[in-house]
Amino acid sequence: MNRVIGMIGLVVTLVILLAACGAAAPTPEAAAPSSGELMVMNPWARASAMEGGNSAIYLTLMNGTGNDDTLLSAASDVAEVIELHESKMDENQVMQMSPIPNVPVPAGGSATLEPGGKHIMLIGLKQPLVVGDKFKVTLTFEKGGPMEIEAEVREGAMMSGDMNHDGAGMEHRAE
Amino acid sequence: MMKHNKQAQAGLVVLVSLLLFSAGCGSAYDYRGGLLEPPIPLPDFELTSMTGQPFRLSDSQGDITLVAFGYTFCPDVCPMTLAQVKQALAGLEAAERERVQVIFISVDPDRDTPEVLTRYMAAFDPAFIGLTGQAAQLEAVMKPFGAVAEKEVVNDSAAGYLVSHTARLYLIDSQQQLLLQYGFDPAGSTVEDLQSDLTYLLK
Repeated sequence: MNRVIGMIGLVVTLVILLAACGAAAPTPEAAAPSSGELMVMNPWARASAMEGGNSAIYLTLMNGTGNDDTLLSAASDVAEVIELHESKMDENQVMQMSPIPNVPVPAGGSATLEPGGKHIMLIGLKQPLVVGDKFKVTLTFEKGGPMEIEAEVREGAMMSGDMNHDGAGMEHRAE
Repeated sequence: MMKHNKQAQAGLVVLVSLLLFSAGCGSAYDYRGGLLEPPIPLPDFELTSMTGQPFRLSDSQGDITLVAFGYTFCPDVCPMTLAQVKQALAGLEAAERERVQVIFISVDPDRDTPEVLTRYMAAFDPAFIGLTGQAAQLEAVMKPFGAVAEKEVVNDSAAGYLVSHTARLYLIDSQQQLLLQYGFDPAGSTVEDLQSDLTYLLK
């Protein structure tokens, strides 16, 4: 009997330890933009099985250079047309999407393209985007020039815990 | 040693009592979605299904029907809402899942023909139903939900036009009443909230 209680105690202790471990584990955070470089963190695109359909690319831009820069455009073979768009929600939960001319990335700062906000819109997919696939995207910056990155295709929904992927994903740096 | 075990046992008793107590509080469940009090009875609208046949709200086989308005051209909010619904349903028992019907109502009948809707919905779950209708029909359907949609021509885009629309997800009970609504929340708790409410309602 005591042994059973002992075992239970052990298991409970382990579970508690594991849980505490999970809580205390350092959350991977995006590196501070002090590298002197323009960086693209965690680029991903929403999976879309429908050829001819649309999707979007999301990423975080970190400007470690001393100069303001601006994302002007994006290009890729996966879609007919690629534009910069922004979704905005009003107080009545009405979502409006509209094209934006560029995405400013201030010196020492960052810009986040995320679901429900700014995104790189893929119009007219030439191929289905399957979870796990990776494809090349060329971002063009006003000062930084062109930068080739690789976006990973992911499932659309995010649980809150998935946010930890931020910064842990692929990282691209300007030369 | 004996003393320790007694303490541990006492602790266990307290823990078990607490668990039982909180389980007993099930009747006081707080909905995680926005509760409509009182629930809004919905008129039995008719729209066009993916086969081109008429589909009425009363045709929904679910004890619970989830409704979202959107359009297939929308790359951001609409697929995310549907993906969140899919993820929430995946967390239910198969028998529970079968009692939930998901309906996506396109507010873009020009692009979203029954054929386009069929391909779009299949990408999420072939059991999801896509509906559409003419502008006046859609407006009448959306009204009791408090939802709106507006077509906007955009000159500086290959999109040609985009459609602004209410991005909520609606939960309709078996009495055809609008019971709960969920705001769009990309990084938030929609999946957990919906899962929790569905699990409670399907008990």
